[in-house]
Amino acid sequence: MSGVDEDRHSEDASQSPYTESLIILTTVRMVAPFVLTLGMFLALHGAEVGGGFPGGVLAGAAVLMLAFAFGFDPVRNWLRDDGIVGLAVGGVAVFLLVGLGSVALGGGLFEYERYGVPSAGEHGIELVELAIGAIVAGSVVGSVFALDAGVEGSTLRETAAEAFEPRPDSEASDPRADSEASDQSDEGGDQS
Amino acid sequence: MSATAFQIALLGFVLGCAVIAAVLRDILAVVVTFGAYSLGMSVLWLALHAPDVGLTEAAVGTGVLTLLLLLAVAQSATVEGGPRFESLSRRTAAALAAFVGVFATTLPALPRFGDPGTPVADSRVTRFYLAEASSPERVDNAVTLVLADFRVFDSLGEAVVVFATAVGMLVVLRRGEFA
Repeated sequence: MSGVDEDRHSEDASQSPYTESLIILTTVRMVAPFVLTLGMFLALHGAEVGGGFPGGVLAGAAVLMLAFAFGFDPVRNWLRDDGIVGLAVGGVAVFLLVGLGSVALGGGLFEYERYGVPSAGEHGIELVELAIGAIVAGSVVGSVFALDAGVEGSTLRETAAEAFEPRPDSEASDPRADSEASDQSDEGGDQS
Repeated sequence: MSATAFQIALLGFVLGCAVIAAVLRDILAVVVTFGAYSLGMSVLWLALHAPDVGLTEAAVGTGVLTLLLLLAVAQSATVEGGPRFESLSRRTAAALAAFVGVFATTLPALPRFGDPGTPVADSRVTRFYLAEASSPERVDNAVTLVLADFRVFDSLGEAVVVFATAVGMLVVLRRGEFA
């Protein structure tokens, strides 16, 4: 355990937050399948016991647990960007289509009975909850992986350091930016 | 139905975690304490018979949010050395006490927990939803019926907000793809 602690404080560990831990690996290996199953169950049974939001969050959390235990890079290689984007965008598209479809059939927005399917109200709710689950799972996984990857081409630490330093490229376009800024402040002063 | 000893103990745990997270200086310790706060909240939801909220709180508050904050802390500066707790000035403490005091005065105006005579429990709207949920051609789960049928337009907005945060993340990080 002391080795893990030392790793966390050493220099190269601060660049890659991943440290291998037997406890986390074993726990995640045991728990993740159940969490994923429960998430899918809740998202698929949206009309009765479940709901799209908890289902999607749990399914996303199961993927994030894998990334937490096995490192982000192996999971990123296995998880393709198309999959995450497809989940999130597909969910929004299905949700909108379900709503607008009943309008196209001459009804109101989300008037499930217009589809003429037996027990349309229940199936409409199930489809909508499934779409919510896909949006939430895709967005949660996507956000965390995007944050882990950092700003394109640099880490967050470098970006933060950049933000507090005077930028040479802002000095290049200095005169125009300065005059505009002073103009705006002058106008503000006149109005007040 | 008044609060049980278990619920009061959980409330104390949650409040303690919140105060500790506010006064600790080490950001990593704050993140972990905040995860404990969320765990306490999720058990509290379970004790209040809201397992779906508890499940979501556990997954979002303890899981996803802790991971997001840990990643942000690992990739940015951390506080080194110095005192363990934030120093609290007398003026800040007075402002906080006044704030809490003003809000505490509204507590007696709240109805008792689970009171059947509250305006929400016997309003016309509530009775309409419950009657619709018990009709054979509707879904039995009244909460689902409201969220995904009567107020599904609100749910559409909420889902798109979640989607927009993920897109906003890409914009802020100047990235073209998630993975």
